[in-house]
Amino acid sequence: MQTADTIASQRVETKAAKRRVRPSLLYLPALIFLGVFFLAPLLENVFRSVAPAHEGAAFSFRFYTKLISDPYYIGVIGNTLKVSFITTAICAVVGYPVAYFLVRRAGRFGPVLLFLLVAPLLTSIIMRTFGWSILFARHGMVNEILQALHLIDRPLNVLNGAGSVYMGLVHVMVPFMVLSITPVLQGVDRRLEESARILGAGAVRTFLNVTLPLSIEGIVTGCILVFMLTNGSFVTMLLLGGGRVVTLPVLIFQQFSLTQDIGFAAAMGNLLLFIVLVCLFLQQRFASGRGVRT
Amino acid sequence: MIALLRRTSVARVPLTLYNLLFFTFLIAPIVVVVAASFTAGNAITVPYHGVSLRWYRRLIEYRPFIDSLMTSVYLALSSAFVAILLAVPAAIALGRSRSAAAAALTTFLLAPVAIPALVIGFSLLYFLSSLGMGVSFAALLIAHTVISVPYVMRTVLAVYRNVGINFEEAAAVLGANRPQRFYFVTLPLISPGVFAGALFAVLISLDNLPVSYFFGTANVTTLPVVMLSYLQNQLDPAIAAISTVQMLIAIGLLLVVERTYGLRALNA
Amino acid sequence: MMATATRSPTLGSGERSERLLLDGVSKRFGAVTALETMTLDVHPGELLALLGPSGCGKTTTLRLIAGFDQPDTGTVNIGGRDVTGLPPDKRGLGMVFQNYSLFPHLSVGANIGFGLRMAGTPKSEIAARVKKMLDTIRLPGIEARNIAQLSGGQQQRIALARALITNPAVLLLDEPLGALDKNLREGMQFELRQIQSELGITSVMVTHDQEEALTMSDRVVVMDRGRILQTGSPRDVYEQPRTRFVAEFLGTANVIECDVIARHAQAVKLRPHGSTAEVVVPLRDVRLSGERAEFAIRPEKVALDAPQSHHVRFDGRVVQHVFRGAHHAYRVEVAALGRPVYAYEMATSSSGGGARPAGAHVVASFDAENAVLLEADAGPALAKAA
Repeated sequence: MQTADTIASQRVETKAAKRRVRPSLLYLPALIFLGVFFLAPLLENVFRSVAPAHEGAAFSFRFYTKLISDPYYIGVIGNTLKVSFITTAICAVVGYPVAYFLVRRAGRFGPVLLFLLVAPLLTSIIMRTFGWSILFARHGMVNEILQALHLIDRPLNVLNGAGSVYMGLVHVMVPFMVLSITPVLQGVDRRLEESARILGAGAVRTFLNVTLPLSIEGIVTGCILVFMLTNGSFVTMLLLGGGRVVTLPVLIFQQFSLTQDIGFAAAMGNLLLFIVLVCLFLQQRFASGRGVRT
Repeated sequence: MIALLRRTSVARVPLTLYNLLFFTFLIAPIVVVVAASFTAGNAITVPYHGVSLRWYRRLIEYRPFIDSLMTSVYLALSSAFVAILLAVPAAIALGRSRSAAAAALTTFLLAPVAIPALVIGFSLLYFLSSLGMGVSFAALLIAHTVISVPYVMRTVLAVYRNVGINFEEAAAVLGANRPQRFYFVTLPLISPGVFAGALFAVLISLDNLPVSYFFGTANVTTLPVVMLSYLQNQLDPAIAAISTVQMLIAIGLLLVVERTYGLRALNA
Repeated sequence: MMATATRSPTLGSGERSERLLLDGVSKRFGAVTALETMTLDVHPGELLALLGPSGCGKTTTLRLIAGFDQPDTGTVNIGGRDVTGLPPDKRGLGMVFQNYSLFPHLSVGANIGFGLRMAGTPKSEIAARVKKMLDTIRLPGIEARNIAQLSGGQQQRIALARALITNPAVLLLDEPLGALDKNLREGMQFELRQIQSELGITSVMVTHDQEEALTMSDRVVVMDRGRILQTGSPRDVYEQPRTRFVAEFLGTANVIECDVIARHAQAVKLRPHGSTAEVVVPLRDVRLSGERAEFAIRPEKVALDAPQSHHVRFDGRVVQHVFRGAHHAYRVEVAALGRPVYAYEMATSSSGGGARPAGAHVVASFDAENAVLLEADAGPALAKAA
């Protein structure tokens, strides 16, 4: 039975309900800041890369055509992808056993090892890359030891080539791979493995059929992360590659130092960005396909 | 160590050995650089003869090192601070909302971490100059804040979501209004996340080369940029010394946060 | 109206017995109706239990009272005041949460005193009242302790103390004993009840545990799928369930489906399906439909091998026996009914303190007076008590 009072109070209450539902606007400062100083520059970059050749002309894709048609630049793009792929693959293979050890075997030493894993990230990338060039110098420690053990006759010239670049990249990236795999591996229920063992599967088969598939998610996350990070790296190539390893970021860096061709640098930057966005898109697809919260 | 050995059976030896090698591989270059900084000689080799602190003394003499170190530290702390002011309210506003708009906004605020810093660097450089703002500390600060916001946002979001709405509801029933709930309950409970995120941001900022490179001037430049040019031009053990000092600062900061809030928050 | 105005300064004065009224409230979440239009009148000073399975709407109701959600229709009234438009921090309530929600970053004392602090009470007064409260709940001197160091039972009492210290108009309890283990729970049931009745504070408790509801409350409201099925004293709800759901939710019930043979002024003659026996069941104020009816008989009212007179009797065979400490529980297969009948026998019963073995032949019997006629789910009301 609705009285005038009940109707009136219903109306008051609905208004109050509406008042409370309005969301907080506390995200505005961050949104505006990033909108102006992050999004706008990137957009301006896009425009700059298609800037008309002369006043009044239409948008020009000359930079992009140059990038895709000139074999040198195609080579650089290809090299970027190649370096990223190889680094990612090596990191996955090198990193998984470390993650496995950390989760399953380390026990009390876990936190210590975790610290050791993270510690390099606290040091300057210059420091780490630099350390490699000391170790593998012509008269550096590695060469001295190997020669003393009579494993080699002359000093190895590892530096200034692809080999040392990969070494430096892997050194920087593996912690990211391990840290991506560890939480997923931790979530693998050991009882599933125990069930497999009771059912007759040996240690190796249990690993291949149970543990590995269940931790794939971590590997994929790690791979995408490492791939993206490697795509953007250039310090390692610069310091350890001796000019021999040229990827997109290196090229951009050089272009900026040498020429002032902003449009071209912008185009290269966008290309790099495009590759990264594709990676992100793939990651989202992968994550939602598996029903995983990212 | 003994316990570790006891647990190691034949089948586990390869794995343990492998990991031993791995962690040696991981630590080696760092140890080498630290060692190289104490050489008495002029060359950067290991091993060497004669230990001395002369290269650390050199740091104090060579003005660009100390100046840029101060600039780097100051910049890292300032940009982390601004990032906190921007990211914490955003995380609170968006953290519990399940709308598509909130998800999109969150993704946007986390985006800078996915974009190559190089691209952010030079596009911001040209953007700011087209606005009339030249290369300066302010420009550097803006650039580093852009990079830092996602790190703070990410950890605060994780911690905020974890905290659970129950505490805020309990506080509400007890008579706390919105500001009171935030100050007395929410803020204390998310502070580990805030500091973990800030620590990330500070460390990233200290080591950042790609962005800082574009904003360096003769007067205002960061340590990594100075280190890079020193490496390419001079190459003596001073570089090892300054690297060691930078590392010690980073470890120091880490220990401070660890003491106060615990490292678990970093895994978020 | 500020928060302080709704809270009186002294504890245990017993003057805070307010009436809580939910008038015509309903709540939908998107396409889901969490709560159908209902009216709930909680008498001053009583402890009302909202009982039902998960998803029945009991938690939604509690949240409407607290103010965390707004009803789509209707009003929430406390002590005659319409609080529907007020946020939770202005309603002057106390609440004990399911997992206590004690602030982990505050000490015991700071937790308990939190509400007083929000209300602007002077520090010295907070300290004194917290101390007195800790004495009342028999945990003296632990103001400075960390929450994490307390046991479940202690946390529970602290949560209660925190809710009561502000002298709220109504106390809300969300599965307050759910996190405790069994022994502790029983003790706390009595203690909680005692504190509540001593203070005379109007309370609403949400629980899915029917034993808890029956033990602690003045009245029980049985809910299922967003609607109230029955309201009454624990005894009424248990002994006179209105529907099959209520009968089966509270304790165990034997629900026998029957055909209606004849209808009288005070009773109905029924024939259970599959049987030739006729049972005359007292008529109640429930809706009946056509030719079918159900009645419920509690296992403790079913006797095995009882003396001849007064009883409805069935031959059966024991198929399962469970010893429950205070009583034996039997599942008796009754051929005539084509279904099992559950019977309880006290362990100290004169008709055999020992257990009846599986396979034993027994006669299960009950007094038709104890059969409870249940409401049909649909159909027009055919009979009504005079």
